[in-house]
Amino acid sequence: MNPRPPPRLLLGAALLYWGAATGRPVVGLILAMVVEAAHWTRLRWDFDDAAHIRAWQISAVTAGLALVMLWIDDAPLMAAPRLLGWFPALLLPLQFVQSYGLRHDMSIRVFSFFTRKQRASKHGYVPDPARGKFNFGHVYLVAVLVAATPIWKMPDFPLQVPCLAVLAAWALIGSRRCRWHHVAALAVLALGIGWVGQFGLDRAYQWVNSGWYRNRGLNQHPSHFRTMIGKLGEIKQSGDIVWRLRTGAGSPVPTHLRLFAYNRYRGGFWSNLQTQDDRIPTAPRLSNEYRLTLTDDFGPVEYVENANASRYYKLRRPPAEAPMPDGPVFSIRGRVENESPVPLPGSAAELHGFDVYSFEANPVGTVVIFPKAPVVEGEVRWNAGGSRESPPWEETDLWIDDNERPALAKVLTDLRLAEKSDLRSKLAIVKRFFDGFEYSLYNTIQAPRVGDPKDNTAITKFLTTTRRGHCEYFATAACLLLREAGIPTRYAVGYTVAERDARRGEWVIRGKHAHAWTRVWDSQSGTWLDFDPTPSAWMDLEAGSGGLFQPISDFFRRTSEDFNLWRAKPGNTAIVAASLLGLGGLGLVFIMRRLWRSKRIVNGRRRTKENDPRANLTPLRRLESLAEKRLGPRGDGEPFARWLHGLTPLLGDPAPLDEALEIHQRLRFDPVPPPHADTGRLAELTKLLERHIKNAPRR
Amino acid sequence: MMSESAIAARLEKSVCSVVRGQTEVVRKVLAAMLAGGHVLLEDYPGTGKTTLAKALARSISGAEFKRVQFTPDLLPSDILGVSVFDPRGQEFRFHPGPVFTDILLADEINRASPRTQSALLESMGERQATIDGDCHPLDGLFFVIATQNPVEFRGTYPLPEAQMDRFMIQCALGYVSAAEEAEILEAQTERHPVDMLEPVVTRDEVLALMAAARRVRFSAELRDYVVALVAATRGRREIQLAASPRASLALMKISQALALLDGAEFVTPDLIQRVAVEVIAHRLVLEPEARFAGADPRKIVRDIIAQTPVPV
Repeated sequence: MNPRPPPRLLLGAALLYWGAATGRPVVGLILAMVVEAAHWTRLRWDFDDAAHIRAWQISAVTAGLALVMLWIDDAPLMAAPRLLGWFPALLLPLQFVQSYGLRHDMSIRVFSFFTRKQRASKHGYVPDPARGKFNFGHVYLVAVLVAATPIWKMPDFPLQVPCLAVLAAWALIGSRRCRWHHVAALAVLALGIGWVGQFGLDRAYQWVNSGWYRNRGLNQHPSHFRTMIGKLGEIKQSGDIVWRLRTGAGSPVPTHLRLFAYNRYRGGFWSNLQTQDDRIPTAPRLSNEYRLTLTDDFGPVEYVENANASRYYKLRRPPAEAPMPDGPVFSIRGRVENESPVPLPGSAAELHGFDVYSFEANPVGTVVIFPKAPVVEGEVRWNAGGSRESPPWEETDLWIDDNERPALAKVLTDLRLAEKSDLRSKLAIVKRFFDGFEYSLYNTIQAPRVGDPKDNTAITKFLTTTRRGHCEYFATAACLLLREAGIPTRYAVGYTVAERDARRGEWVIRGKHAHAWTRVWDSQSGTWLDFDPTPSAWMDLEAGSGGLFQPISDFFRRTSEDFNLWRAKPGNTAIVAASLLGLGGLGLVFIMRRLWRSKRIVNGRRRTKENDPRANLTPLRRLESLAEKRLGPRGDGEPFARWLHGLTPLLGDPAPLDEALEIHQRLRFDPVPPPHADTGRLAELTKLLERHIKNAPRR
Repeated sequence: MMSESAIAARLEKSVCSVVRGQTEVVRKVLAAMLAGGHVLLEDYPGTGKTTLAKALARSISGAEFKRVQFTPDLLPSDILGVSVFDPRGQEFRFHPGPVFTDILLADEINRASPRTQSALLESMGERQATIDGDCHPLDGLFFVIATQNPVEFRGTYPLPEAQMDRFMIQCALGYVSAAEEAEILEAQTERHPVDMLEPVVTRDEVLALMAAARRVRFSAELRDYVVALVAATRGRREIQLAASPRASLALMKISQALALLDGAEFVTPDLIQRVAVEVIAHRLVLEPEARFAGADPRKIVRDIIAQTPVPV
C-alpha cells in the first residue's frame, strides 16, 4: 500500500488520454482540471472517514444508476463494459475527496460495509489500523487507464497502447527513485511492448469483429449460414422473447417470418449467390475477408413519400403501375442492432412508421435495418401483391451438389412426382412424404467422413436411412428434392409465429421459435411461396420448455423495450432529460452547498506563522529533495537527522554532515540556542553537502 | 553541564565494566534513575539483573543497597517495616523495612500477592511510606529496580495496572552475544568483578546529576510531540487502557536524563523515540481480542512512533 499520491500531472495526463481515446475530450479535460487544480489552489476540506464513505456511496449509487440506464439502452451484455468506460467520471467523488482532503490516505475499510460493521461492534477487533491505508490516486489512475482501453470496439485513437505504456511507466518511475538511464531504458521497453500490444489489439479486434461478435449467438449472416446438418448433439434454443407482433382486430397473422434466405447448399452450409461462381468455398469455412465481401448484393429499400402523407419503405417489386390490393397489416416491436435482419413475411410489401435511417434488402429477400434507436417498432403491410425477391436464377436456384443427386433421384422416382403437372399437388406429395418422418431436436446424423467418397451425405442419410431430424433437415431436403424435380427453390431461415399472448393481445416470438423452411417458385403466378415441409408436430416439442425464470426474463425484456420506445418518442425524450438533469442538478447543488460551507482555505502565510513546522526551516531542509532521490521518502515518524544520516556512506567525509546536523538540531530543538550556532554556517555546509551528494557515485 | 556529563560517564563506565554488552539498557536504567523513576526489568533468570543493581549501588559511595526476594507469603510489613512494642521504653518503636534504602532490588516482584505489591505503590510514587498512620519520607535517591520472569505463570500475580504505571520504564536485558558471554566467564574466573567495584561517584554527586537532568532544555515543539505520541495510544481499538499523562511526564523526564548521559544540553526527537517504547508499552492494557490476535504493545508503540509526524 502506498500512501504517497501519484506524481503531479500524471492523473491529469491520464485523464486527457482517456478523453482522447474514448472520444470524450471535453469531459477528460474537465476531469483533469478538477483533479490537477488541487495542486494549485489552497481550497481544502477536512475529509474524515465518514466523508470517504459518503464519497464511495455517491460513486456506487451513480454507478448503479448508470448501469441500469446502460442496460436499458443496450443489451445487458454490453452494459458492464460500457460502464467501465465511464469509470473516471464515476470515481471522481472519491478522487476529489482524496485530492482536496487534508489527509493523504484512505482506509480500505471505506469500501467494505462488513468491515465497517465489524469495526463498529464491540468485539470486532481490527489487528492493525495502520494497515490497509492507501492513496486513492493510484486506484484512480488504474481505473482511468482501464477505462481508456475499450476492448469491445476498435480503438479510434491511433497511439492507444504506446500512450498507455508511457503513462504506466511514468507512474512506476514516479513512485521510485529517479534514475535517468533507467527511465530511458524503460521508455524504450514500454514503447516496444506498446507497439506489439497495439498490433495484437488490432488483430484481436478484427478477429472478434469479423466472426464471433458480429453474429453473436446466431452464427448466421446474409451471405452464408452454417446449419446443424451433419452435426451431432442436441439443439438448444433460448426461450427469450425476440420480437412481439400485434394485429388489428380480425386481421390474419403471418405464420412464417423470414430473416434470411439462401440459394446454394453444400455440406451443411447454405450460402447466397446470384450466379454460379467458383468463389464458393469447398470447405464449410469462409475466410474473414470473404465473409465481408459477400454482403455487396444489398441495396437500399425504396422510400416512398406520397402527397397524402403516407410515407413508407416499399418492398413490392416490380414497381406497381396498377393499384395494389390493400393487404393486412401487423405491427412488430423488438430490439435491434445495426444491420440486424428484420423478420418479415415473404410477401411483405410496405414498412410503415419505423424510426430508422434506412432499410437495405438483397435480391433473395433478406431485409436489414439501420435503426436510430436500440428498440424499433413499426407496421408491416403484407400479402398485398408483389415481392422484392428476384425471380429464380436458373444456375443457382436449381443447383444441386453432385453427391446429393443419387439419393434425391431415387426418392423422386419413388414419389413419382413427375406424374403431377400442378405445383400444389407436387408440394402436397412432398409434404405427405415428409409427414412420415420423425421430428427430433437430437441429431444423430453425422456428416460424411472426410476423404471417404463412399460415405453418404447427411441429407442422403436423412432421406434414406434415419428419416429423423430437425427443421433444417426437412427444409434442406425439400429444397433439393424440388430442385431435382425442376422447381426453383430457396432456403429460408426465420421464425414461426406460434405463441399467442391473449392477455396482452400480442403474438410473442422467442428464440426457440426459430425455424427453417423452403421458398418455392410458382411459375404460374410468378411469385415465391412459403412451403414448410417439417411435420407440424414440431411446435409441440418446442412449446413445453419454459423454465422457471422465463416469466421474469420476459418481464424485464418487455419493460426495457417498452421503456425504450416510450423514451424515444420526441416529447418523452425531453421529459427524461429534464428529470435526469433536474435530479442530478439538485444532488449536485446539495453537495456543492455542503462542500462550500465546510471548506477551508489553506492559507500559506498564516500557517507559516502558527503551526506549520516549516516556519522554523533551517537551510538543511534544502537537502530534502536531493536526499529523497538517494534514500527514498522519509517516513512520517522518522527523525530528519536519523534519515539524513543514511547519506553518510555516500559522502567521503562525514564531518560536514555531522556538523550540519548538530547545528540544525540546535537551531530547531534548543529553546535557548547559544550564539555560535548560526544559520550562515549551516547554509554553507548545506551547499557543500549538496555538491557532495550530487557528485557521489550512485549505488 | 560538562562536569555533570563527566560524572555520569564515570558512573556508566563503572556499571558497564561489570554488566557486559548491555550498554543501551544500562544507559536507560541510569537515565530512569537520574529522572527519579523506577525500572521494571522483565527478563529470564541469570541475565544479570541483580548484578546490574548491585553494580549501580557499589559505584555510588554511600549508597545503600537492599534486596527483597518477593514470595507469595511476603507481607507489606516485610517491605515497609513494622512498629514493635518496646517493653523497656513502654512505647512502639519503628523498625524500618528494606524500602528505606537508596537502591532497592525487588526480585521477582510478581510472586508476591497484589497486597504486598501495592505496599510499594506509595513509596514509589511519592517517595514516602505511611506506616501505622505515620508518614516516613524516603531519601532523595530512592530507586527501585524490580524484576519479573516473563515465562512463568504458575504462582504469580500479574502487577496491577496502577503499579505498572509507577514504573518509569520496563526493559529487558536479554541474552548477550557469545563473545560477551565468554568475556563474562573470563572476568568471573577468580571472583565476581562486582565485588571489586570501587565507588566512582558520591551520593551527592548523583543527586546533583538528578537536578542537572531536570535542567536539560526541552523545546515546546517536542513537548507537543511527546503529548502526541502518548495521546495516540488513546482511542485505538486494540487498547483497553491507554497511557496516562504520567507516561508523558516520564517520557519527557527520561529523555532529559538521556540527553544528559549523551552529553547534550537539549533534547532531540531521536532521544524521545529511543525510549518511547520502554516508557509507554508496559502501561498499555490490550483488549482481550487483540491479545488473542497476537498484538504486542511494543509493536503498537513502534507503529505509533512510525506514524506520528515528528518535528524535523
